[in-house]
Amino acid sequence: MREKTLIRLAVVCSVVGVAVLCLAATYAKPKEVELSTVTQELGRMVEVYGTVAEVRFSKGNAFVKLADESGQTVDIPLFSRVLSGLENFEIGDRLRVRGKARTYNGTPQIIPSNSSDVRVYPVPPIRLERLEEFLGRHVKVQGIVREVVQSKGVVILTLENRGRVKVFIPFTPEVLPREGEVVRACGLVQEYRGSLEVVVRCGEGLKLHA
Amino acid sequence: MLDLLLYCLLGIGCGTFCGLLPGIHPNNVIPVAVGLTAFLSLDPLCTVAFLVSAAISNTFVSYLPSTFLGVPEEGTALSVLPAHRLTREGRGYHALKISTAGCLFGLLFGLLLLVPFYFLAGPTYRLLKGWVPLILILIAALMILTEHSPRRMGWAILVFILSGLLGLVSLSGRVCSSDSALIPLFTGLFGLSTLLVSLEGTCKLPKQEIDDQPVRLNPKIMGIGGSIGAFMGMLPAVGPAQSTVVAQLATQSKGTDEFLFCVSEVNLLKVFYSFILLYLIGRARTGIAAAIQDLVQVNSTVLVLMIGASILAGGLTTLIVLRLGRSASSFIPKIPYRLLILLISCWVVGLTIYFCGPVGLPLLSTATAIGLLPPKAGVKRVHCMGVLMLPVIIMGI
Repeated sequence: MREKTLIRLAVVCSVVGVAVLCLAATYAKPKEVELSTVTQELGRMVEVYGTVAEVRFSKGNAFVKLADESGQTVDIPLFSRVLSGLENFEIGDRLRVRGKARTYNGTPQIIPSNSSDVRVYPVPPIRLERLEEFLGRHVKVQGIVREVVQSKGVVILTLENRGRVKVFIPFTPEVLPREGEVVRACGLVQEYRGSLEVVVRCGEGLKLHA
Repeated sequence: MLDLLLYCLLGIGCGTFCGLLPGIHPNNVIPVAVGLTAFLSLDPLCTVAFLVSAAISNTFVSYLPSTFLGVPEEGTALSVLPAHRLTREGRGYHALKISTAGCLFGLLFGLLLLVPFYFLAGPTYRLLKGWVPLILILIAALMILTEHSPRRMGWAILVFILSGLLGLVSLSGRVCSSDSALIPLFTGLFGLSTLLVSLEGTCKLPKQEIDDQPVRLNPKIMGIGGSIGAFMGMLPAVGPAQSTVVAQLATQSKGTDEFLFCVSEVNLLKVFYSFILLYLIGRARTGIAAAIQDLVQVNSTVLVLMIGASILAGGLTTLIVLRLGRSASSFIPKIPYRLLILLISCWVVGLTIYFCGPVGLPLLSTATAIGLLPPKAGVKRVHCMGVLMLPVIIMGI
């Protein structure tokens, strides 16, 4: 074998090597971790799965708080380039997010770099009679507003849909629902004085349906 | 993707640098690489790409100092004498071309062998792992029997036992760490002793020819030698030198070119398959493989990544080695040979003191003295491999 042939072979190997590395990079699946262990994986590519507990939209970006069943949360900033390729989601929906684990102001964060790193699993509203099963978890409930109580900056709605549930809103929403309107509320199920209620923490958790 | 590529290139740079400095191995950078991965929260896959490409590049480049300077490492120990002899005949570049071709074809043959190896590695490992001492005794016996005459066989046994006793003392970890002890042992047995012998009558290295003499490829050596190298690599404590001896006996290769090709092919396969074995049998056979095992869980994606990094490193380093070989061919003959040997000796002594402390010096001088015996007695230097084989045989028994 002449030197030229050896050199040609080496060049072919280099090109093939780059191609194989591309293949490995494409199929490299990041480690799937619990939200509670994200801080142990800082700087590494990880994949997490959780329920949208809060979402705030600002200047074309969305800032999502993802929660697991134990209440542990991780922030997911979805910048406009990522958000534009995603289907709509709301509080209570599930997300599978792949990205680099970091901390921002002491809070764990996972930053996806493109929309293919985020997968949305829409979750329908739960039936009100099954609310007890979801205690401590984020859910969606939907029903007709039967009562609106507004006092000291908080709002309590009573929704009815084959059962009744109270929706506690610890702020005054921009549009206050009225009796008879259909409302979808997304928030955390908690127990208050012996009865279950859904706590809506942000404006995005309350939607009026015509 | 780009970060993986970047880390591969960094690994190639690191492997090349370590390969050019005799006695320095990428194993020396493992603590730094693993420490930085944790400290800077780097992606472990990038560190894997770095380590794999550093190991492969180092294997290719380590033939440069062993060919032109006569200073070996464990993998290149057997190639020192024939390669440096070619350098003293003005054919160092040709020797380097053979070694580089051996490494590259070893890598390609290793890729071909992946499929049968996938099915055979597990059963073969389970079959052989309990028989390592016996296999080593057989290899030692075969090595000694190739000396033919009883007088030479006697010398071969003496060299084997002396090297083995030196290995037993120095690799026990009592004198200095066993990894560090390898530096004075291999440099003394195969490096300094070769240089001291070659000093007789040589004042200057001749002008090195850079010709286009083709490297002869022998499919028998490539196939049988490569297969033996890959399978022997599964066994603990069986290094490339022992694998080469078996491969050489199996292929009956005799010429210098065939020998150099076989040594470098087997050496490269030992390194390459140490990564493949992480996936197939979950055992680490080299320091770098052990570091990778600590960093990531070796799944099929990591396997593909390691293969990709190896191919890329192999391809690029071939080009680097040939380029550096041309420069070395024109530069090294300009240095007076005695000065060159003095500089190398100072470097080796410095390294020995750095890694082993002053206690390394008696190891180095004893190893050099034992290494002088084979050429004086007219037997092969391969018997000095008793330094690793005898301790494993005794511990195994």
